[in-house]
Amino acid sequence: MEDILIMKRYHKSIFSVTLLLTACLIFGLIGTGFAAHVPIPLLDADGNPIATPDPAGTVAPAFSVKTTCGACHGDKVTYPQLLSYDEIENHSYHAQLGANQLAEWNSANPKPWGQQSPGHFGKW
Amino acid sequence: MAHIFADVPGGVKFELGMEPFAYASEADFIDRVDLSVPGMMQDCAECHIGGGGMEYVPAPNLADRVPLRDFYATAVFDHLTTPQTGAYSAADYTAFNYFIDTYDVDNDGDLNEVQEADFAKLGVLEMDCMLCHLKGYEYVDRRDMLRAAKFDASRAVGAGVAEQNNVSFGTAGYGTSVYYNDQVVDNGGFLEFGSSILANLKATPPSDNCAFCHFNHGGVDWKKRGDNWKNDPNYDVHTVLGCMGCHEGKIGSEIGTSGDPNSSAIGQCDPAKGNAPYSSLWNANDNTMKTCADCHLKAGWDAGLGEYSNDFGAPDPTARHQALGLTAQLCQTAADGNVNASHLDILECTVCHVRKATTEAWNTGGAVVDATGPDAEGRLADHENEYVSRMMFDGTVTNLSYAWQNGKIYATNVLNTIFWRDKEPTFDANGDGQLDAMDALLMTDVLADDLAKGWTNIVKDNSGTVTNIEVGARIASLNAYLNTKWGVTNANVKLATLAVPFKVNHNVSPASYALGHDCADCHAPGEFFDRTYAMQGDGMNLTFDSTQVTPFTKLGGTTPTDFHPSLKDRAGTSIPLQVLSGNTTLRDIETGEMLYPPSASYTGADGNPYATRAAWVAYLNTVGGAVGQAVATIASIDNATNPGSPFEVGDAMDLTAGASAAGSTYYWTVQDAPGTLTGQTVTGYVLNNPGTFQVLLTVVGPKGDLKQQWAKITVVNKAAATTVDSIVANSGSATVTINLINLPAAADYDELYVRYGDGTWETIAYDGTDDNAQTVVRDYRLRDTYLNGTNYVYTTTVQVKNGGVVIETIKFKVTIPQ
Ligand code: HEC
Repeated sequence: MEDILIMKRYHKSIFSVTLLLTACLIFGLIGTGFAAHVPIPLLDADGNPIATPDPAGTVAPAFSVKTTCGACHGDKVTYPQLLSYDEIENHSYHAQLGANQLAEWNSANPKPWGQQSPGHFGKW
Repeated sequence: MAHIFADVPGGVKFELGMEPFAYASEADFIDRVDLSVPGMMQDCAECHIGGGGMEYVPAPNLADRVPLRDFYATAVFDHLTTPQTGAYSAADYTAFNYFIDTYDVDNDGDLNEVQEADFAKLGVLEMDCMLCHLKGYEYVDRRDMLRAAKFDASRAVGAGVAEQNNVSFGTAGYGTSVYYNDQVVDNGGFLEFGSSILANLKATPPSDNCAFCHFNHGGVDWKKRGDNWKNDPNYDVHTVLGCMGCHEGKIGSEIGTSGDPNSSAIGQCDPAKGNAPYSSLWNANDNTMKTCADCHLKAGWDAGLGEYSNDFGAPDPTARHQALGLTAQLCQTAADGNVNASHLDILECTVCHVRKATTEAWNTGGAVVDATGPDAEGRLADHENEYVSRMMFDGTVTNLSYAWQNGKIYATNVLNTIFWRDKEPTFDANGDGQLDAMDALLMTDVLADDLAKGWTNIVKDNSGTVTNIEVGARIASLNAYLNTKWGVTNANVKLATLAVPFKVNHNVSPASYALGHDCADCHAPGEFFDRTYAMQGDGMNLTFDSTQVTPFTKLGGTTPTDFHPSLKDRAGTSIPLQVLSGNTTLRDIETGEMLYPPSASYTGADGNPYATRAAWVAYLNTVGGAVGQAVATIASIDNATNPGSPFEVGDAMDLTAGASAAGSTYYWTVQDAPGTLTGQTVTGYVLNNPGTFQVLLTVVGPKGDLKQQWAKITVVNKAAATTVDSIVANSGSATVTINLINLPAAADYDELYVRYGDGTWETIAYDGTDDNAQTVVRDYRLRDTYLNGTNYVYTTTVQVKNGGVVIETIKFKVTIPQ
C-alpha cells in the first residue's frame, strides 16, 4: 500500500475548534452546537452485534474498537472518506512502537534481542 | 527483558517473518524473563495505545501479522521448519503467551510466578481510539484493567460504559466480558453507545487526554521533562491552542497508511513529531510538527507544501530579538574564533522561553527513577515518590540544564535511572546468553530479593537518605540471591545510573519571563554556563562507596560515562560525564559540563585561546559585558534659536544622544515631518509645524543590536509681532483699507493669507517693498447677517506665511458703519 496524499489533514477538526470557540464567545455556551457522532452499534471481537443483556445486569462481551469503529472506519464503499482502522494502526508510531522496524540480525552486536528494533518491541 | 524472536543463523535479514523464541520450560522462562509481551501490555501499555505488538505477532509485512487472539489457532511464521509447524500452544513458553505475574492477577501473593496469557480469555490491546478521542475517558480505570490483564475489558471500562466482571483469572471471559452500564443503550435488542458518549467523541483529541501520559505528576512521561498541563496561560502561553494546535502537523502534509518506517508521512492518528535527540523510533517522520518558526516567523507558510497552515495570529518577535541583540553576529558555530552565528542560530527558542515559572507545588518533574525496587503501585521502579522528583522553578531560577543537538543548544531535564547490574565478566547474571560485564539484573530478580527482605526501592525505604551501609546490604543480598539462583559464587552486583537529557519543549512562558533581556541573564557566574544542577531528587541524599558503583558505559570502549551517549558536544561527539561512577554520591554537575568537554581547547570570539572548559566558561561568563552594546539615551533637546525657550514654529532644534558603545549608529526621527537624521548630535533641525511630536532616538550597536528612547516636544506658533496700524472704512462703503506694520523682513515671509470673516478669503503675495509693512484693500460683503446694531462687524484673520509655513497669525475686527 502506498502513502496517500490528503490535502487537508486535520484541517476540518481545527476549523471546528475555531467554530466552537467562536460559538462559545457568541453564545457564552460550552459544548453546544457541535454535532454528535453518528450512532455506533457495539460489536464484539468477531464483529457480531452485542445483544442487550437479558436479564439486565448480566455480563456481555466487551466491545472491540477494531470491529465497532472499523465497521464504518474501513467501509470504503459507504464511507470512502474515512481511513480504516488498519490504515491508522499500520501507520502509527504510537501503536507500532518499533514493531514495524524490526531490523536484521546484527552479528557485530550479538545481543539476541536487545537491538532488534528502536522501540519497545525488540528492545526488551 | 525477554527473548522475543528466535535468532536467525547466518545473519540473514528478516524478510519473511520471525519465529517466536521458545524457552525450554516454565523454569527456564522464569529464570530469564522479567517483561514479556503480555507483561508490556499490563505495564507499558498504561501509556501506550495498543495495536502493533500488543495486538499482533510482529512481522515485516504488516498484512502477514498473526493476531494475538489467534496465537493458539494460526501458525506463526517459523523459519526453521519447512513446511510450517502448526500454531503454538500452552506447551510453548514464548514471550507472547506467558508472563511473570508482577501484578498478581490471581491474587495469590506470588509476584514471581509464571502465568499463561491465553488471549482468547484475556482479549488483546487493540489501538484504543477512545483513549484519545473520548472526552472524559477514565485513564485510571483502564490502567487497573491492564494490570489485571483484562485487555478487551480495558476499553469498555476506560470508556466508562462498563464495569469489570467478577470471574477469576484463567476462566473464560475473564478479560473479554464486562457489565455494561447506562452509557450504552438498547436498540432493537442490541447495544449501542448512548448519546453522551457520542457527544463526547471528539475529532481533535482533548488535551486532557494527551495529559494522561504526557503531563502532570504521575503521568509516566512527566518525569522526563517536568511538563505540566494546567490551563494556566501565565505558565504556558499556548494553553488555548491545545496540544493539537502544534502537533496537528501542517496542512497539506502527507498522511501515511503504509506502515513503512521509511515513510516520512505521519499517520492520521499520530500527532506530528518533533525531534528527540535520544529517540530512534520511526525517525523518518520526525520534524513533522509545527515549529515555533512556522507560526511566529512564517505565518504558517510552508514553502515545501506551498500552503499556509493556521498560525493562530502568532506575533513575529524578530524586531524584539533584534533589539535585544539576539540576531547580531556575536557567536560561533564552532569554538574556533570564527564569529559567524547569532544567538538565535545556536539556541533553540525553548532555551530562553521555557521557564516553567511558577512556585505552585505541582510544578515538578523527575530527577531520578529508582529501579532498585517496586513503587507503591507495584510497578518495578519508582519515578514519582516525594524523594525522587524535583521542583522545576525556585522563584527565580528554572531548574533545567542544557545540551547540544545538531549545533543548537536545547533545554533539558536530566533523568537518572539508578539500577543494579552485574560486573562479573564470566557470569551471565540475567540469563540473556551473553557473557559481558554489563548485565542489568532482571527486574523480577530484584523484586524477588526485595520481597524476601521486605524491601521496596532503596530511596523510598530510607526516606531519601541512602548511605553505603544500605547500598552494601542490598548488594550483598542480591549477590547471595544470584549465586543461589544460578549456582555460582562470583555474582558481583553494582549500582549504576543512566542519565538521559530529555529535551524540554513545552510550557513556553510569557515573553516577559524569557532569558536574554540582558546579557547577564546567561553570561554571568552561576547562570547559564556553570549553574549547579542536581542529579538527585529534591528529597534525596544518596551516598555510597566508589567501589559499590560502576559506569553506565564506556565511550569508544575506554572512557567511562554515566550519561546516554546522546549527550554530545556541538560537533556531535559524545561527552563523557561521570556523575555516579568514580564518585561517592550521585553528584551535582555544573550546567557547562553537559555542553563542553573538560579538556578540549576553545577559541573565543575575541580570538583568544582557552585551554580548558573552566577557562572557557570563565570567559563566557564575562563575555556579555565585553561586547559593545547599544545604549539609547536622549541627553538633550535644545532650542537653538531661542536657547531655553519653548519651541516656536520656525525655531531650530539641536538633539544630542548620550554615548553608546563605540561603533554605534544613531538615528533620529522627529514626528513633525518624514525622514531620518543621523548622528549622535544633530543641529539646526527647523521645526515647521505647530503641535506635539515624538522625537525617537534609535541606536544600533556595533553588533547590530538596537535600543530606542523617545521624548515629546511641543511646538507653538510664534507670538505675532505684526500689528494693525490703521483700518480705513467709510460709512456705507464696502471698500476697506487695512494697513499692517511690524511684518517680518522681506526674506522671512512671502505671502499673506487673509480670511476676511465675511465668508471669503484670499492669498496676497509679498508687496515687493522691504519696509515691514503691507496694505490690504478689500471690498467686504455688506450682508445683514454681519450687522451688529448700526455697524457691519467682521472678524478678520491674517496669517503671515513663508514657504507655505504659517509664521504668525493675527486676528482683529473690521467695523463698517451702516
Ligand atoms: C456508523 C458508522 C460509524 C461508526 C460505527 C463509527 N464512526 Fe466515526 N465517523 C463516521 C463518519 C461518517 C464520520 C465522519 C463525519 C464527518 O465527515 O463529519 C466519523 C467521524 C469520526 C471522527 C471524527 C474524524 C474527523 O476528522 O472529523 C472520530 C474521532 C470518530 N469518527 C471516531 C469513531 C470511533 C472512536 C468509533 C468507534 C467507537 C467510530 N467513530 C465509529 C462513522 C462511523
